[in-house]
Amino acid sequence: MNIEPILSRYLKSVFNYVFRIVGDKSETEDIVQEAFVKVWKNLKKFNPENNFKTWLFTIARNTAIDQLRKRKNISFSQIDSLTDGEDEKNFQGNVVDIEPLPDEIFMRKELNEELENALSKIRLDFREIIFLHYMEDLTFEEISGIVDKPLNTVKSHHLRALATLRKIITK
Amino acid sequence: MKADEKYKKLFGYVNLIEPPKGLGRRIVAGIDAEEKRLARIRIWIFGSGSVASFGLSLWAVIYFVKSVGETGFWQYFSLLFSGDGAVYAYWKELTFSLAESLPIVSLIMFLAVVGFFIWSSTNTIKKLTKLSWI
Repeated sequence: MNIEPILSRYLKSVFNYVFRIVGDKSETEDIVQEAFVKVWKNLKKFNPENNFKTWLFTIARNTAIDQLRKRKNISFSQIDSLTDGEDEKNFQGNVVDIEPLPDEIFMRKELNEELENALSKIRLDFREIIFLHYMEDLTFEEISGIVDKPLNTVKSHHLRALATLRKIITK
Repeated sequence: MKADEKYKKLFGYVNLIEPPKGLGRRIVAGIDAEEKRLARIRIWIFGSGSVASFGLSLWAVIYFVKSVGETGFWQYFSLLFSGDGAVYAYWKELTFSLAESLPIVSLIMFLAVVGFFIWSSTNTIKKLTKLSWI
């Protein structure tokens, strides 16, 4: 089965997603390579009625998590935040809507660096939701399927992530 | 502008990292290597199956021929070619006798072993051909 069309379409997205999880380029390369081999192996099992991108990202995520588990210097709380069920049940009640962003933020010269820096400071599971929703244009339902968490948890994590990011960049 | 759209615009400022050059080629090479590894494993499995079933086929042939001799099937069967008019007159009885004397168990064993031999050999050849193409 030919993997090249899949590679040319999704390699950059998968690479960036895995990099947001592991934070190391050479490790990301290995994980992405392993993930695509898994995709190729399981391509026959893929149900065309499902979303291919969601399936692909799920494989990449699971491969990255397995790699994080193998890595000894990573704190278990970081992995737990990716794999745990929910810890934010009551959060949604506290946040009514997304807080608006001040317009002057867009005027900043070093906005890209600021955002990268802010993203690197937030929790892993928050970071991946932000990446998947805003940079990969995935819906919360699709993200919920990828991260294997209930939809409401994903939505509340999204709000918490934005609140944390807003706090960092408006300091 | 809605808050969500504003955040979308904001994250549009984040530059996506370009994957290292040659990563795509390395992935394709990794898949080729995996394909070869799987093909070798399958060749080993089907090849072993072929060798084993070939040995069993020889035993199954001998057992079947022996069973046919013991049950008297050949005697009834040879009557068909004797040209005797009685064969046509008593064809129903002869058919029953043939069916009764047919060594069913050894025939099933023989067919199963030969079938498995053909299936595993075909697969071995297919995988070998595939491996040479990779």
